[in-house]
Amino acid sequence: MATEPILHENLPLLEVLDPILLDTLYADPHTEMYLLTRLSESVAVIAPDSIAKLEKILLKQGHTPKVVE
Amino acid sequence: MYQHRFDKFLPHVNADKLKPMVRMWGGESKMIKAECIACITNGLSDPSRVSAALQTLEPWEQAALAVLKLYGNQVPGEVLDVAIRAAGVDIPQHINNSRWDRRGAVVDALFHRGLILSGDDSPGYFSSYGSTTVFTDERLTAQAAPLVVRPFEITPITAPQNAMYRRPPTVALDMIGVLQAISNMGGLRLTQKGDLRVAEVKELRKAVNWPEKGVQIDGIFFPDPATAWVEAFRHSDLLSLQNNVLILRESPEQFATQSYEDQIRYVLEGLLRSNVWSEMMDIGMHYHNQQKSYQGRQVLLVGLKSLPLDVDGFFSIDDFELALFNRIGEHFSISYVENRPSFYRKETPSQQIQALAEWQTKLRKNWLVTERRWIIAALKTWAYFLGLVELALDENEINGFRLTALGYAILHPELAATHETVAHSPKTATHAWVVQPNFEVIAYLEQISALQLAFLERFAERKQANQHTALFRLTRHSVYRGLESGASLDDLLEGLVRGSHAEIPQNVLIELREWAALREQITLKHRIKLLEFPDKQSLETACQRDLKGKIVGERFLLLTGKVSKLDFLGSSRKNYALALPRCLSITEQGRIRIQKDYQDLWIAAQLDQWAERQSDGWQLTADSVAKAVQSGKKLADFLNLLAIRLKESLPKFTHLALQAWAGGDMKAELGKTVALHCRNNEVFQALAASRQLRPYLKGKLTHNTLLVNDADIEQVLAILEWAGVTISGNFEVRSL
Repeated sequence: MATEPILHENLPLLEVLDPILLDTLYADPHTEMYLLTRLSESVAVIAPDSIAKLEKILLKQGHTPKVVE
Repeated sequence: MYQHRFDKFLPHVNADKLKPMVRMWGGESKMIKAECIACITNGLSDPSRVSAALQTLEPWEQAALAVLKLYGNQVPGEVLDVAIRAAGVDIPQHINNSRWDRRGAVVDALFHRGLILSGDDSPGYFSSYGSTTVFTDERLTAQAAPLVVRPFEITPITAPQNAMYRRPPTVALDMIGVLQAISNMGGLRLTQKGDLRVAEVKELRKAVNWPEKGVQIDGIFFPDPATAWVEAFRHSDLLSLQNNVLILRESPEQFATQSYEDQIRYVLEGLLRSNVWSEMMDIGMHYHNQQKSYQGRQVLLVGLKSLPLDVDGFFSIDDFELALFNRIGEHFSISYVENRPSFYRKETPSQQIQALAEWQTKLRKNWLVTERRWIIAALKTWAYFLGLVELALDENEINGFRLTALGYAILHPELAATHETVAHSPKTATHAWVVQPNFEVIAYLEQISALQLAFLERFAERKQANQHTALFRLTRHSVYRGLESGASLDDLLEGLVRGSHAEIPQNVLIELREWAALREQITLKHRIKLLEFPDKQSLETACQRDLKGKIVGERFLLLTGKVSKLDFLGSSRKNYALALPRCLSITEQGRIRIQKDYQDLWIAAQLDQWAERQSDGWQLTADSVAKAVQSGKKLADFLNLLAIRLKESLPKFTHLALQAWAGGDMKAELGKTVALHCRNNEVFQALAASRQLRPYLKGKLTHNTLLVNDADIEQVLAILEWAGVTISGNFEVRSL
């Protein structure tokens, strides 16, 4: 493990209010494939070039995700 | 915006063509080419000389400049010719007679006069059919007077019992709806050739609820409106092209702040430039007709401008189309103009008169079959849809029409001071709708401001629109879409309350808040800055140094606010917008390792999806790959990941294994054969050519080794023994 801090820039991220929701998204193969490292109970790193696909699936599942630059 | 100026094109025009052009600027025919160019460009750059030059023009030449001004300084030569005639401007006989078929005569004359150049490859070349696009210098049209038309000598019909027109707010509602849909889609992506993508148009159709074949508007069929208006917007100044995506130049709200005339004029100008959609698409138009339809629209606009102004009444379709035919019928058709008969001095005058009469009868007959139908289709589609005309109905058939106040405002801006004005939308928000407990919003179009229309288009789904009202519905999706476009819940609630005649029902307010709260449940962030610390303690220490952000887990800080470079002195950076380094190695057995001391927040989790994690790396197995594929992941994505992150290329055998594990059909066959090796080439050639041995030989393995089927070995040995060939058993197979 690095001994100095690392700055990660331009990283796509998903954040949920309720950690259970993120558990559910990791358990669902449709969304799991776009979720990579889980940084905390409520924050996950999104796979490269996948935000639009993930957003589409979430909308299809009835979620209304907030998308921010 | 493209500048229409002659300067850079004049050097490409031949000297003999330039000489007549200089007369308008006081030049002489003995001037050499460079002097001609200097004379013209000097003249054009001096507004007072332009003004003086325009005074010397004949009425038809002034009309030509006025037409060019009307169409934005550029127009197909054929349209320029016909539009001047449609305006009722007399073309001098010597020009009409300068070419036997009269086509292109006007364009030729205007070019020699120095008023136009060809907009095609060569500025001095004009197609003999007048099909060349021509343009004028914008400094000429800047001072040119608006087009003055000679009104048609037709009289109004009896006031119809039934008439209908679209009110400006209804038209604006549709236009704003299309713009809002384009905005929600993030623009319209084009193909590499620059055409609109079929999928994009399809998505837009869905968003504005317009079926592909067409839509009934007040009982009138409009074919494929999405194509018509997307193309119109595309060719208007409302969209601009960025990275092959057409995006809005201004927001729908900004568009809505303009007057109805300006909003509709923008779209009309775009439609006049578009040659993709046609008024008669529903009945199948020939490609040539489709190309000509847009020229027809430009000419029809001059025809509409030529309606009598001093009478307030409806005009019959019959009178209008006949009047237009009398002006342009010999020169224009959206299908094909029958050639004027030619005479070779052997015909008698009476034969010539008869031939001309027969030609005119044929023209009229063709006009009634094609142009008359097209004119009615144009009036029923875009002219009605844009609110330019009011249609007179007789038993559901359209038999007449007149210009609306909006039509006058757009076609006769010079009469703005004297004519009936278009009712403008209120500048400020008014009580313009009622929100019902079932989430429906009834909007009163006479009271609503254009900005409020844009507001409703942003947050609600339009279900229908009539002359005086429009029905919207607030849905979870429409509210979500509105909030995603950058508005807040407060914007929505305040806007709804401000525009409502009555209090907003409580259940609606509660539900709107609920929907907005649901949107906060999941946030997708495109590009964040995240600081990763080696441990919890160093994170806490950094936070004490006034580093602003949100702590994520034990070791991460999601940076918020402005980030100073000083904060990361000594830190390494990873930019996920750029290509990440090649850091992986793989063995043929599928063992993957990440380069020592390298890490990012993608790679380990990506490998976890396809391989089994082990103490010192990952192992690809048939099971791990099959599991990934079963869960919906695509092998192509994984192969792509390996292609961009492996330091060396993926071993072919591993690639083969991955394909097989992912369900690919990777077959090979194994069978027992005996190798018959001959060191002596003479022996090899004799055996290979032997008729006795041929049935038992299965082929050649190398240049000196034959293959024998295991089951036939006894027969082969017997034949070789008979021939005295000694067989030894010490042939060794060498490694590849």
